[in-house]
Amino acid sequence: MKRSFFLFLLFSLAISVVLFWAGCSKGPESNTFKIGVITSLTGSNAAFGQAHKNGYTIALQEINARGGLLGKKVELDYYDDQSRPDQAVQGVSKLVDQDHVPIVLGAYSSESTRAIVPVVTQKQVPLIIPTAVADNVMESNSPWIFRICAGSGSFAAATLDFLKNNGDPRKLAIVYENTNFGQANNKSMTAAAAAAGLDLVDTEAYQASSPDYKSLLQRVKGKNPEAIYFASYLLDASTLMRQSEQLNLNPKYYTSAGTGFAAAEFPTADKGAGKYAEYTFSVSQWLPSAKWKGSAEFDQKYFALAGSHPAYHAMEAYAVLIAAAAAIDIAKSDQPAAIRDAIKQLNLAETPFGPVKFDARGQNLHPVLVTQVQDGQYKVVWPLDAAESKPIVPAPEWSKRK
Amino acid sequence: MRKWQLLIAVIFLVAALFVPLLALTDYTLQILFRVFLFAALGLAWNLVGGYTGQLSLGHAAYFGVGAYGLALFSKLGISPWASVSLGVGLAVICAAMIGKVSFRLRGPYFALCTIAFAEVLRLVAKNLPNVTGGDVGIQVPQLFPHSTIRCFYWSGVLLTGFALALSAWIERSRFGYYLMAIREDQDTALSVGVNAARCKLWALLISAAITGLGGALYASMFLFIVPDQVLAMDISTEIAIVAMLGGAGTLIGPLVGSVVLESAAEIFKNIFKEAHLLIYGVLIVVVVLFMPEGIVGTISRKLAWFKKAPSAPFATAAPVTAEEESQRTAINQ
Repeated sequence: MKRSFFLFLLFSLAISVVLFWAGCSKGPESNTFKIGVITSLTGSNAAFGQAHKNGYTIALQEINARGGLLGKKVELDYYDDQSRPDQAVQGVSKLVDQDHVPIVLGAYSSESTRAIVPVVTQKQVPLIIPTAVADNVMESNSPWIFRICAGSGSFAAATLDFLKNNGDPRKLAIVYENTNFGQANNKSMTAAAAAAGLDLVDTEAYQASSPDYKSLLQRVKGKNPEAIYFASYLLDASTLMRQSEQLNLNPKYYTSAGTGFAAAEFPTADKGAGKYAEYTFSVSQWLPSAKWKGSAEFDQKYFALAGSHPAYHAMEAYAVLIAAAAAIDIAKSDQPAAIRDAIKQLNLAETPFGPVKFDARGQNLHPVLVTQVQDGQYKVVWPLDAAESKPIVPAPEWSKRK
Repeated sequence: MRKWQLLIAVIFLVAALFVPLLALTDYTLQILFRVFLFAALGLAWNLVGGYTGQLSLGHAAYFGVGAYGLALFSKLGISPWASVSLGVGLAVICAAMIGKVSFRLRGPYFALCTIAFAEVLRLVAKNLPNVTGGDVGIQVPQLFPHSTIRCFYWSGVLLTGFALALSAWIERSRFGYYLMAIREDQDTALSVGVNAARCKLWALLISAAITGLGGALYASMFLFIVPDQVLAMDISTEIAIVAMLGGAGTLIGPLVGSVVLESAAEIFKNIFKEAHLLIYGVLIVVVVLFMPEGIVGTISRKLAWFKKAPSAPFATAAPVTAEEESQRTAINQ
């Protein structure tokens, strides 16, 4: 035992030396400009993290093709949060304290993003959030936090706006998955429905990845809602729709808070709900067919890179990097405070993600689209100025579908 | 001998206390905090999983209860440090209830039972949004007025020192021998008058108290927790792996395990990017294959063998390790 102590001491000494070296070594003044990125390259959200990475890669190529930033080539400094909030926090520390990046982009999930908000505020480095929908990531009112995507409150507002102008149903039910995403959307929709004077007849929560939703849908059916609002991921969204058909649940409107109901796989028969996805509505932040200039080019570049078409998560990653680059160009500085001030004043009229301009709270006023699955394709049906197609309401009853 | 060991351990930990005075970045200190935190958690786990031989894979329960205890009690207006003590108390109460039930089972059934309890707690925390904030999460107060990473680092070192001192004391106390007797053969221990049920429960209660304290520290460092972060299986397995890799049932095994695992995890992540989990997994497999008793267990056995070999070549005192066994079989073939 005594010798093992000495060995241990020797060993820990070696480790400390390595850590010390890792901590203190600051390379010579390099000719690259580093931007910090935190996303979920591994873990349960790895698919979305990969979409992020593809989006960042496309933006990075464009920026470097234009000559980089402040005369330097841009380099992305990735930190994998393994889909875990505590790792994301560690990532901020690594990117800021060790690599001295002046700005951080990320994370993917609402959980990880919520966890890093206090840390970036404390370290006084600007953070631009690409995809976290839960509104609690913006609650701190920190001047260092910016979000490019619309939040759960906007999802609820857009859905209700659409419903009000398309038949105005009065009885609403909410079905959501028990995660930060689901609970945040439930909270937003409950508040918005109450404000709009809707009759919330039922609220149902379910556990992620449970295989059977029939009893839950049976209860919903008993309350006879005119519209249902879902907050679900992909697998559960597909199962919910298949089982709705089996139970002959016939609300006039199937609406949803995106994600599963907006995934490219959802209307396909092999990976999603197939024909049962037909007529469902979803909020969306962006589509390859969006009318903003550059959307189609982004779609092409993404397809060339990844071999599939992008969903809005990739576009949001692309957009935060483009916005960050624009802000650094304006600031003409690599100091976090100067970049922060430049982001505040940013006013990009034209990006493939639409106009980018942050309000006093740091929220980009991104318009939320409402789409409907028509003939296996997502079609934008609301707001009117962006619509490609007319909404089909009410959804035909299951027995009358082909 | 024993005094020497303790002296070295004390010197090491005192030296560790002065590390923040070096010009280290917050990032390095944060990793070192994690190293010491998991060393303390591993030492706590070692009392149950190492000395007593009861494979608990549900220590996230006590970790999470400690973390949520701090958040919830301080929400009621209780001061943070009082909330920490209440949280630790709550973790101990949970441990008493879980232990009472699960210690009726042995071996893999016990391990499964501890997993089940931790999962139940996680689901409860997820489904009580009005109390725990559910998946939206809950704010945790700062334990240190000027919440610098240094304070967390120091408290991590102190917690490890405390856990180490406690382990050293237990290891040579009558209680410790009872625990090891239970590990070696519970029925024989019972037959010679060891109250196995009570001993196992006490070991778990002490372990849960340290784990709960660790959970509270961890939560306060991140200022914000969700159930999937502090009550997850990940935490349970990480605690157990730290202790087993370093050497379950050895005094400093968990400390070594934590230094190796936690620093390797971070270094690999920075070097290998997306492949880091693969390399990390390979490291664990290699250690398990070639050092089945953990790093400290194997090294001390090898040292003892070298020392004894010349004087007593046919000594049977040291049991055959799996590696030696396989070598012998190879020769025989």
